[in-house]
Amino acid sequence: MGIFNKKNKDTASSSGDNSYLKISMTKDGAEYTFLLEGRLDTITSPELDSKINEVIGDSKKLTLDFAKLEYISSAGLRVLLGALQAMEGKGEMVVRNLTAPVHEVFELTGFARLFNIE
Amino acid sequence: MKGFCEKKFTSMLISGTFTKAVMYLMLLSDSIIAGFFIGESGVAGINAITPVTAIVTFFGDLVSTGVGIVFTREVGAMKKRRADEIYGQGLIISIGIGLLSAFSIFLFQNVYFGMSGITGDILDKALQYYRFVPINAFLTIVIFYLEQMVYSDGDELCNNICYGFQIGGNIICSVILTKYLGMTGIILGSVIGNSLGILTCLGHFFRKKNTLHFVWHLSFKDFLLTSRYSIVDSSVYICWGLMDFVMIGFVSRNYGNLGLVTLAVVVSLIEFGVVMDGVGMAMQPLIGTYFGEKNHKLIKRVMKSGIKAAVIEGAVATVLIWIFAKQFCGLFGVTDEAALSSAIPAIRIVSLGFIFCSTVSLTTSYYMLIDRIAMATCIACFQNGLLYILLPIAGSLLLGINGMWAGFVIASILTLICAMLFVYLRYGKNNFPFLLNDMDSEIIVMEDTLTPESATILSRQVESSLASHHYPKEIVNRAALFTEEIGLSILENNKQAKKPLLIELSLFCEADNVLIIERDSGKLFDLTDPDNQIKGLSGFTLSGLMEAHSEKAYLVTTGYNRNMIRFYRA
Repeated sequence: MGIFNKKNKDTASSSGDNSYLKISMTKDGAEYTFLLEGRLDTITSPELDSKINEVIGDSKKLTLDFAKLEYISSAGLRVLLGALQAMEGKGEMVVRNLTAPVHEVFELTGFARLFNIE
Repeated sequence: MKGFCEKKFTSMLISGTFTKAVMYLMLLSDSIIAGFFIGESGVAGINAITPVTAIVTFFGDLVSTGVGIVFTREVGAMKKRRADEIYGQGLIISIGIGLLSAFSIFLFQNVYFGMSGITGDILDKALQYYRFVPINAFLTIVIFYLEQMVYSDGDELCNNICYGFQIGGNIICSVILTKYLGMTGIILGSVIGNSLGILTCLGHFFRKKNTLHFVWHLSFKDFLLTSRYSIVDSSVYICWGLMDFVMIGFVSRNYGNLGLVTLAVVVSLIEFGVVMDGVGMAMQPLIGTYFGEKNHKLIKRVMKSGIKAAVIEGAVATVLIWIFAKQFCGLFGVTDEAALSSAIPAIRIVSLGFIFCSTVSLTTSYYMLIDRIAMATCIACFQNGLLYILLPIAGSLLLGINGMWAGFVIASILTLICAMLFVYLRYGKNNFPFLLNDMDSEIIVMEDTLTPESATILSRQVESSLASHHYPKEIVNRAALFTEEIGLSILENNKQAKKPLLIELSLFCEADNVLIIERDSGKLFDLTDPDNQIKGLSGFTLSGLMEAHSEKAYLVTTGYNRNMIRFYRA
């Protein structure tokens, strides 16, 4: 699992595309938490997609922390939708700490009703 | 790199120049055909009706030029209903004036020829030609209007085809029919050409991108509003008439018949300059729209493209005249050696002023389009009415006949210098030369060829630009989201597109809001229509965003999608 191949409570972080999106991940057993910072748009979302796909196989709970996410577009929503579908029947997916602009996009698109928001 | 508006300008320029060239050819074609198939009496017969055709051209111009300008402005300001009214009134008036002209020409035939003093063979030929002039007058006024409006609606392809049929039909039919019907055949060819042109124009109304919708509207105030834009062009023709009148007297006294023949060719060459007004014509729909938006940045960009085009067209025309001087003279029947040896140097000298002539023409068109009509008229009259008389006469007195022709060149140069100097001194350095300081809103223009990545980069640019203007975070995010999602939606809707898709964004930064105007070259799609089929997650997101905002609009403009949305501060 490359940089994620660490033991309990390991953390890893990376940033792509001139730091428009920083992704930090913590692992607690089969629980994975991604902390996103910056912009989740068409250019940056493939990076989140690949990181989620790397861990989703052995994940029982997937948490996406948007406390520092300032912007999300449909490309980001598509990644979340893919993750939600992948987690179905396997475990739980949670999004938390939505910032006001991200929350607005969730409301506009009806995604607020699809996800378990904390 | 050519941006969105520059590409549209280039496309309009080809059609605009073609339009003006056709107008020039239409004026000449009947005389050329008459000269070739009938002889001198045929040409003289047509010339005898020149005042009638000049009046028809005047009315055609009166009802078409201004309507095109006001229509594009209203579209630019997203006032669709008002644009429809302007178009509807223009159509009613053009048909009305067309019918009135036709009846008048028909009723006053005897009075006209009684006053003209023409007799003999020339009168016979003129009467044969006159037979279909009333119908042709009606068709000419209507086709002038339809072509102007189709062009203003951004359908330059339909316009080009229309002109092709109009001039092609005219020449072919005239040539064939002249053999059987003589002079009547020539005018019948014009009638058929104009009819074919009108039929082709009607094709535009079946195209999806047509925005010309007829509504019944008649207002004298609106007629005055639209007709005042015709003053500039009309004044040019009046000045040419005056110049012609004065110069004929001067030349006949000083240089005799040979000088008069040369003057006739030179005047035709000056009239040929209207072809270069195609640059002004190409600017009209674009500047009209941007004027309606109060988008001073794009008006300046179109004008800069216009200046380049005017200089290039002027230079090309000069080179062509230098190469084909003999053939140009031949068009007007000047073929013998003595006349050619006088006319060729004359038109070569006069053609040296083409670059300045086309730039002056562009300047007057520009100032007319931004509502400085009085100034545009003064510049046009200063060159065509005053300097075109004074400087050739002064040149002749100082340097002889070649000095006279050089006077025409100096007239254009001096007009340009005086006009620019006047604008600079009168309006100040900061407002020179565009005079757009009253449009003081801060505008940010962005454009690109659409890809998923470029849509995102544009969105990031919107975000950083608005943040640097201290807009609240929520406005910045909505504007950025709108930009990315509209880009992705356009790509989704145009998956089959073979040509690159262009997008242009103008951000108008107001104190309490930001207005975004988006233009794209994708297939027509009304984002504000709630009944539209939503494609993909981007379309879904965009639809949600649009639904949440009440101040939004969509209008097809010069053949492109144009969306407007305004985000207010909370």
